[in-house]
Amino acid sequence: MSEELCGLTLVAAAQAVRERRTTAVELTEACLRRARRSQTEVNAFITIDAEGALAAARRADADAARGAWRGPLHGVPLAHKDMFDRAGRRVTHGSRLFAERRPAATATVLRRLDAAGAIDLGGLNMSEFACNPFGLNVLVGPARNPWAHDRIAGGSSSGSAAAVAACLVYGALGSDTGGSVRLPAALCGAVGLLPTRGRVSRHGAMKLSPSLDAVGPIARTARDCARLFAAIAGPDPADPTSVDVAPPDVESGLDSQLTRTRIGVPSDRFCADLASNIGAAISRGVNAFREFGAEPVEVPVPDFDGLNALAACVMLPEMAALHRQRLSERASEYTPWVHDRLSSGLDVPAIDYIAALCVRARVTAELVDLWLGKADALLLPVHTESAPRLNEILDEIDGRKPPRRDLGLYTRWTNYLGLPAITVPAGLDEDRLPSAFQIVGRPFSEPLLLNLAHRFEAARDTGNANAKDRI
Amino acid sequence: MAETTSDVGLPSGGIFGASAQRISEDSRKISARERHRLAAPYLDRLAPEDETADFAPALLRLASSPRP
Repeated sequence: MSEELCGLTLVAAAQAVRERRTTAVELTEACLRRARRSQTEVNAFITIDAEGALAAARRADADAARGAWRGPLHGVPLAHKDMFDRAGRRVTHGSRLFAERRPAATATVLRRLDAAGAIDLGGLNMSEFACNPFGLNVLVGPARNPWAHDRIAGGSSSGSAAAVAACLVYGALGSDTGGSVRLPAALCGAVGLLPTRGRVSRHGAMKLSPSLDAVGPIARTARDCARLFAAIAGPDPADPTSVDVAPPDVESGLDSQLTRTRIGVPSDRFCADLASNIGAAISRGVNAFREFGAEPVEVPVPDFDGLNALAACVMLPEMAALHRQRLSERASEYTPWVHDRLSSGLDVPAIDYIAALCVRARVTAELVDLWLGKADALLLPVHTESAPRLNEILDEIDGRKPPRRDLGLYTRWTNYLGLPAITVPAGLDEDRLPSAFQIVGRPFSEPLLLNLAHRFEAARDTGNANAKDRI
Repeated sequence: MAETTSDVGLPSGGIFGASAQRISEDSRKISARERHRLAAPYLDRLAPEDETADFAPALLRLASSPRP
């Protein structure tokens, strides 16, 4: 069967299975063929579980034959960042320390996708322990950007964004502690959703900073992203931080009118200081939403540095605490600069950590009131530059010091505030690389964020933009 | 028009209006001291009634608060 199937959107692929125009096995075989072929250039996978995927696809087709449809993802091939437990399968966390780790149980989000009928092709590439935005990984090497193979895919959910953009799978899960879903989605031209804190279970997912970690979907369209989000959202008794809010019916609201919606936008002065392609993406967003009848409202830009520092007071000690024993006993198995980054939290005073957690609710309430008292959502940059070249990033590593540039400047603060945010692809820039903006909303406003992303891509014809022809 | 959150009375300490390009070129890494300096205006606001357990309920309250 032709690999043309791989270029369908997730929703179109699910519909094709449902209407018996294709089968789960056909889709899975096409995606597996493409995934294997792309490994040399894109390196999106850490583990390709062809046997498991084909067995699941055959079961899905058998169920379909007797009319037993499992759910809205029946027969659709996905794959996920290699940090979600799958019973019996190797799950590495992108690290040499866990190169042969095989968990006994399956993460809640994977069980929910299984229940919805999805097929899991394997574990996707990721930054070592999800703690760098460059996708650097010494276990299998970094994932490459499908749009330009000499450039990074971003991180830490590098393989998730790369696999989706390269049409190796129809969607993927990543994790976002400071931008790890939104950044690679932006650099690879995909839609990436950071859900509200507590919206999606993290049970069975690798912990990096439990107070900030979130699980989110990456897909080629807002509708695809909405379907994945709906499948994984909702309370989970196994995750004490999950919130008892029923998952919303996001897909039905994607075409809602945006009149009377107010979009908070940064000042022209702020945008003028951005890299030109980033500023152009912001302008495209503002202009599009104005055409829909939404009202742009100028708002103060977040204090990125202050809020990011506050997030670091939480993230660094939690990372260090989780790795503390291994950092001393198995130090040589970490990349040296990753080891030092994980160790840096040992120097954060306990009083800063406690204070940062204690003031969180009040700071969030004040800032939400400030920004979202005027607007329904904020339109902001998501990345600081287009995908850098891999050799430039590697050149910046100086012994035990990580690459110097701060790709996560615009993303880390939202995790501290617990707010949802979505990366919206905004087309290709002058270098033919993806550009994007992000929309940040008030807690549990994912339906609005997906609605805005969907309306933008429909108006600008950016939906399902992909690098299929570059593989 | 207020340019940043600091201009409207909220604590700050960061570099406001600085371009992403410039920050990237600066290639700076925030030291522990610098991190504390940037976070201090928020950390110093700690009040006796603040508790870590308040966060999830706070998000739920914000979700249901009146829209503009």
